[in-house]
Amino acid sequence: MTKPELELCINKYGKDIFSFCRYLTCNLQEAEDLYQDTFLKAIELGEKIDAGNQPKGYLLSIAVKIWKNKKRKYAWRKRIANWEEGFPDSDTETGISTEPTPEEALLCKEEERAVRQSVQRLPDRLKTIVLLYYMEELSVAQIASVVKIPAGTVKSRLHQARKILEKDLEVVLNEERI
Amino acid sequence: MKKEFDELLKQALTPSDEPDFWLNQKILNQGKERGNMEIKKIKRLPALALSTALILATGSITVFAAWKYLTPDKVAERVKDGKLTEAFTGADAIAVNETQSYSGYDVTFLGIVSGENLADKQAFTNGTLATDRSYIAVAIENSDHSPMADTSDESYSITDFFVSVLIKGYEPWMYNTASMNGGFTEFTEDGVTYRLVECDNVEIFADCGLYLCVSEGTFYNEKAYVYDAATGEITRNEEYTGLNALFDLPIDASKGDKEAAARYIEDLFSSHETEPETQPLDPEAEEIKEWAARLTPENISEYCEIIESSVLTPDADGYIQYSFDSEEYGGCSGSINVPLYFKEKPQMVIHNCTFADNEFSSLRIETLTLNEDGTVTFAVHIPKQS
Repeated sequence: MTKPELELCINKYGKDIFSFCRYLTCNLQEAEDLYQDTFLKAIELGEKIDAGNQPKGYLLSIAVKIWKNKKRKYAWRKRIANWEEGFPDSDTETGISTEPTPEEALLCKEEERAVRQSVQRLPDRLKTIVLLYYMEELSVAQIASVVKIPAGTVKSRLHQARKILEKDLEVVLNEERI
Repeated sequence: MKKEFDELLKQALTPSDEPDFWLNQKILNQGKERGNMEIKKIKRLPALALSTALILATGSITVFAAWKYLTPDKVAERVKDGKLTEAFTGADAIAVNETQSYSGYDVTFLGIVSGENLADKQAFTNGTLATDRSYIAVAIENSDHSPMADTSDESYSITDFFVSVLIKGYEPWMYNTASMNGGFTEFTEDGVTYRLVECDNVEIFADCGLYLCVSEGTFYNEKAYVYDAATGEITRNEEYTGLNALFDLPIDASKGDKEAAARYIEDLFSSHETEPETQPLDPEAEEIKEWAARLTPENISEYCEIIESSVLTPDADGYIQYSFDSEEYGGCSGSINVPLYFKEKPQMVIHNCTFADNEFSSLRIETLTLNEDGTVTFAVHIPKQS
């Protein structure tokens, strides 16, 4: 990857990749490391990045692999305490304005926050799929290629995740409808 | 309803987190055009998880009048650590610039600095940031001035040298940079290999007496040095024909703190021992762990199948290096000293078990088997499908 290619990738996909890393890791420091390692790994691998080979999917697949390997170690050693603690709970940290808003807008923000927190609580195998589908807007086929699992498994994980989220967000969703 | 819910998810999860400007700049600086700049990895000792993975080679050469090699601050500058560069020019830094020549190598101990928060790149130990550290800069050159292998060369090997602090009165094979949460960064410039070693702050041991050893190999080399258990003295083994440089670490003895040192030693090993039980697992993880715990060398073939195995021959010092990499089951690599490892262990050992995402299907079990001919079989198993 040349410097202009790298610059283009960072400008075009930096926010998407970083948001994905942020939600996947639940920790700013870890997210920055993962984001950085993802681009550096892409440089190291030396694949030519162009529009034809889906650079976003390629970068996301690197991030998923790096994180999976990292989590594998942690899963056994149980070193990292409280993944949840580092997640940006405050609006300022997620870049959402904290200025007073009309009631409707506030409700909407609250609802979104509840959704994000609920997604955050999903097991990693489901969370990765949800983030790739809803946040990165990849197709089922693209996700299958990024995560290297069959498309059917992607669909089933999406279905499982939706069920869990719907149940988790039942109260919030009902409140909205009332 | 499904559509509404999908929309809500999409809206809530719209990418909103911007990477820091400087983080992008850092990546861009590191990602100069290939061909002009080769990427070099920060090399790691096994015990350490350093937070940053890559550094760049540098093209220019800087030679200081009084120094044949890069000064310690320049070494830190080359690895893009601004804070450490400053620390090496501060009042607490000790410039040494002493060279020893053995076995065809000129080894120069450039300098040391110790303290809290001295570097931009900080290591994680046991899941927390290690901030109180010692940093040591060393230059290694071929005595005949032929260029050392560059980290991007085919001939380069991470296992070429072992550079470590040793403490008088403490068994060197047990207490060295590897066990003291150490790591290192290495690059070659102008034919000289520079290594920036870091480990937990050793100043608390200053009143005991400290050394810096530089030998060949991945781990502490027992043949290269002599440890006198009665006096605690560590000396070079004069009969050893390989590299075995040994420097005194010139840290002010008044910085020693016997109580803190005793606490550190106690914590060092107790933390390793208790580490696996520090955080409760999810129920799914507990189940997987319990299942894995029931595996024994005798029954593993009943419940698991081998997906990869290799027969490894120990090197002259008795070490083997194993590695495994798979898309589905992740990767691992490591090194063991065969005689020491199997000293009090059965012929076959379940070396490690790992899993990801609390999924049973991701469980991977590594075994090591000592064969009659002295070779070791490294095998990776997964649970049988049934």
